[in-house]
Amino acid sequence: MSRLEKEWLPHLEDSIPDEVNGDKLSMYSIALEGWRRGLTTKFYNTKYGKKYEINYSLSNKEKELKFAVSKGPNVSKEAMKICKNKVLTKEYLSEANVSVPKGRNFNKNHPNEEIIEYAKTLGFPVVIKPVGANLGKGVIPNINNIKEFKTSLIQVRDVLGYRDIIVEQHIFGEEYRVYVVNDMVIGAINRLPANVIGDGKSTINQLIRKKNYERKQNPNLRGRSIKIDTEVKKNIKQANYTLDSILKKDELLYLRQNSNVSTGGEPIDVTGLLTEEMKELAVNACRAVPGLSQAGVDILFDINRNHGVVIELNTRPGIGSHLFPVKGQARDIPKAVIDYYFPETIDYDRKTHKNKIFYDYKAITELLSSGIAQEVVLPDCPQYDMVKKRYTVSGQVQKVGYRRWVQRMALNNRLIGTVENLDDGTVLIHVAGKESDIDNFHSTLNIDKPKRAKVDKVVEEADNRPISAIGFEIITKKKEASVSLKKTDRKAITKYENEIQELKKQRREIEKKHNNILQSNWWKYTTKVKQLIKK
Amino acid sequence: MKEERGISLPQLPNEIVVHAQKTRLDSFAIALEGWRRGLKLKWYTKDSEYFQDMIIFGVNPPGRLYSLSSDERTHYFFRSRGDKVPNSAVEIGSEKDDTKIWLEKAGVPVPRGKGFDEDATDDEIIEFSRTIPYPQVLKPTNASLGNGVVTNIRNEAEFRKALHYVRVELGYPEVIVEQHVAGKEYRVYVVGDQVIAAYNRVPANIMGDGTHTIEELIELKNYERRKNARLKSCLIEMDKEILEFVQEAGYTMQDVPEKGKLIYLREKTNVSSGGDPIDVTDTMPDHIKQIAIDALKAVPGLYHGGVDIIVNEDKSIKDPAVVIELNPTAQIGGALYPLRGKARNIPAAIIDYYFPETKGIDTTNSKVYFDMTTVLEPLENRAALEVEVAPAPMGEFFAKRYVVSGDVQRHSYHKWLKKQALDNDLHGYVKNMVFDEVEIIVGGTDKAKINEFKSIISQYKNIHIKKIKEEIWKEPVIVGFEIAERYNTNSLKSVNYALRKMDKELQYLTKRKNRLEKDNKHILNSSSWKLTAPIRKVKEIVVGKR
Repeated sequence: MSRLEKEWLPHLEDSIPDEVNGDKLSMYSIALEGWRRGLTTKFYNTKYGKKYEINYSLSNKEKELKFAVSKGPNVSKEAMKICKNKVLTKEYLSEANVSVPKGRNFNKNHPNEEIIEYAKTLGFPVVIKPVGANLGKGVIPNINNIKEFKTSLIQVRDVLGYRDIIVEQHIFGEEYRVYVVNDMVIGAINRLPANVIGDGKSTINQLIRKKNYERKQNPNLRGRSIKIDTEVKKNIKQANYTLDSILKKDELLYLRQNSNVSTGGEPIDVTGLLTEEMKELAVNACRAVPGLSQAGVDILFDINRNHGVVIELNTRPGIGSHLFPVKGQARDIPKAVIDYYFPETIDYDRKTHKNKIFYDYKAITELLSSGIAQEVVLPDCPQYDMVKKRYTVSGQVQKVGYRRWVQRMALNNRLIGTVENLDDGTVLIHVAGKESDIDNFHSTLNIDKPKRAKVDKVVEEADNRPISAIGFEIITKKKEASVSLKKTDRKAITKYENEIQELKKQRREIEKKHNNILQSNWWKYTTKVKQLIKK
Repeated sequence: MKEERGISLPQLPNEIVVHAQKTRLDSFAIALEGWRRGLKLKWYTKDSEYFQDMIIFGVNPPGRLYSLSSDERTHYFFRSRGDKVPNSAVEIGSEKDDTKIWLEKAGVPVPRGKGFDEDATDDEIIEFSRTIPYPQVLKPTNASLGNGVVTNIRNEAEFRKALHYVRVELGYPEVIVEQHVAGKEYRVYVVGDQVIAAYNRVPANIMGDGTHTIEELIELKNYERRKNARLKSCLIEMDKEILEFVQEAGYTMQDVPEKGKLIYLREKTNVSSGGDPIDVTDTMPDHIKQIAIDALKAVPGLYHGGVDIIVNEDKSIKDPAVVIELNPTAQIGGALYPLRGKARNIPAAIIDYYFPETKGIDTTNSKVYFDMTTVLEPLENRAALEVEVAPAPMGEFFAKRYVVSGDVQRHSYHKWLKKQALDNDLHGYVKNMVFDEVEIIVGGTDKAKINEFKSIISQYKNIHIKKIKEEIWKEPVIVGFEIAERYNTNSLKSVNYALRKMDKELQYLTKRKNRLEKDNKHILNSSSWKLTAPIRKVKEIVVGKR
């Protein structure tokens, strides 16, 4: 999959910290959009039942609106209740004449005969799904006549033992996830199951590795690699290949049945391909549920017949796949959400705010998810164009409190950036801010220093690196970045630990001895003896 | 040197304030008291809008600006001062000259004297100096911490010298000339019309024992100060001032003062320059306390703060004490951690004053706290503007320590434990011990959940637990749940970090060890200790036989 086939949002591409991936993208990117527009941004812990979750709020002077994942406050509690329950969802959709696959649930008390009678009324093809089975287990699709239906029913209920089942019309077509905000379709994706495409040279194993490497470059797919498990192996075997087979050029091989993004599925943007009918179907589905002002609508659509059905409504859908599709154009869901909730900020002009500044997601969420903090408010997002500079300072500038001092000077000048020690003994500083503030900072570097430091030279250069997160961070890591953890490291750690334990023991003993001496009667006597001697 | 750890309130043992030094200690102690009573606690950077109208200074790094809220209202605090104290009162209190005018107006006894602004000529000031009795004090109008104060000026020649020193050499043109009142100096903390704490501020000093040299005695004194949470950040430093002072008193650093001989090392009484806070709250006479209370009342809106007074030794002067200074933003560490006497709970008094409805909540036995460093970290580098601390668990707090052995040092297991603890509203940490053990501390207000946690520990799949040891944990517990393991073996970054941290710890421990060893050697080598050796031997034999 070449990079040319996809287009991501320029204002997001360099602004996603490593820690933000997959599901975290939704909260991160919507909060980011609001924050960049000058809204006050707050993150806090919320307890849902037993579990804690980080939610966030955006506010201007008039109002504070609370968000969870991508869901804003205009989605009513009632709407959430309806969408959570598939039976209720179907009722509401049918009521509003939105097509859904016809079908019904049967529990263990229903005899097979009754179910067969019902299947006849539905019309073929139909599908049988067990209730409560995972990941398509026991699903028998595309049943075309009574005879097939009877065998399938016995297979599912009596052989596999799933007594509670759903019998539904089988709808042909492709599955789409359509994101709707305020009756408007913002984006649509469909998903391909994990797959590889041959190049005539590489083995399947190599192709999977290459694919996983590509996935690592995608914030949404990072950490969601294709694992070579039994299912993948089975699919390869079924295609009469092994992991070492070389695929012909352009040959497509699916590695799984399901298209779950988390197990290797690939989201592809299809917004431009949606027909008016498809859009209408998704929008009408949202309209059918009271208070559903934004949702991810799952539809199944048969383009040839220009007809589709709504399968599911999601009130808290992840938006990462829309932002970072594997193919096609990224769709700016965060923009649509903030436009909807804070219409007065619609005029926010991305061109004049070309800083791609972001916030320190890791620092903030770690504090919250460790149960140490309840709430964290971000500093205001600077609303001016920033100049970037980098400085290399040489001299005696390491281990003399130089970085701390630099941080203080930078913060005094309202600059953001980082400072770090380099292996060659110099200190590297990246700053961004107003030109006058940077000039001020630069002259401070030239004329001032912490007590113990000795500065030989300060070199200023233009900086092409993307702006870092708001705040001024002292980077303390670095060193041997590419070496992996070796036995020697483990040994070193064990050695350190033993030494520390030993020293602690020694110290305790000495301390005890010391106190004993000071408190012993002998000490008191000696003073007397001493006086006697003096006399 | 009886107390192994120095004097403190039971709810404020030394180990919980290690990350809150100096003026941060004031903030931490008051914030913690409010938080433990169930108030909502937030910390801010100076960029926060809430402090734009409040007089604040020295607020970097963060840890000095915070707010406490009940359901009804929020109060903002800067160090030990809350928002009930208006700026006008702070201004009066920080200008010694103004302070005096207001005190005199209210009939509060003050030393005779007068302030001069920078336009005043030296002659003018000398002229005034002649009108009040010697000895005199000359001090800059707006310097803090006793800086630039010249005391015990006995004649005009000395006065001229002092005047030149303060106005020209130090560059404080605004000065106050005052009668020097001889007597002991006290810091009194008043809230409303009650004295909460009073301590005698004794200048840095040592007491002879007939064995050690002055230099050694200073080291021993510092050893004692190190055990005190407040004093360990201000040890007695042997600087030029001390050397000269000792010399002037007729000693050298190598002299061995006789037992019981008290030797002062400085003039300054400030705790931060080595002074001793000696608690006298219970013994200070009521009429002296009343002077402190009246002093605070004299300044409109100064509802709580510190009052510095000198109790007069000269019986010919009619006032029993004079007020020399008011501190609207007083440091309270000396009262929390005195060198002698009892620790006084100023934080409780302040919270009582701002949130009287929480008066009944007793935090004496509270074992839970929050870690200042962790909470302030995002504020420190401006990644955040405000941080609200997770609410304190309310009610009786229990904790247990589980030591688990088996293949239990995996990071994924610790992450899972953290989640289980937090979902059950438990606080504490998990920490790798040597080889195949982890230590797990869980604490909370639901005893059953803490006991149940023992069974949760072994519910993680794919690990084998050999043994779980359990015991009651009485030490303080930090709110939240930390994975305190030294390193995550899967991450190079974390390993490197751990290595550096261990290196530091090693260095620190070696230093401590060497220092103690030196101390011991010193004592053991002293001639008197050697002299008593035979006696000790005899005792050992006797004890051994028994």
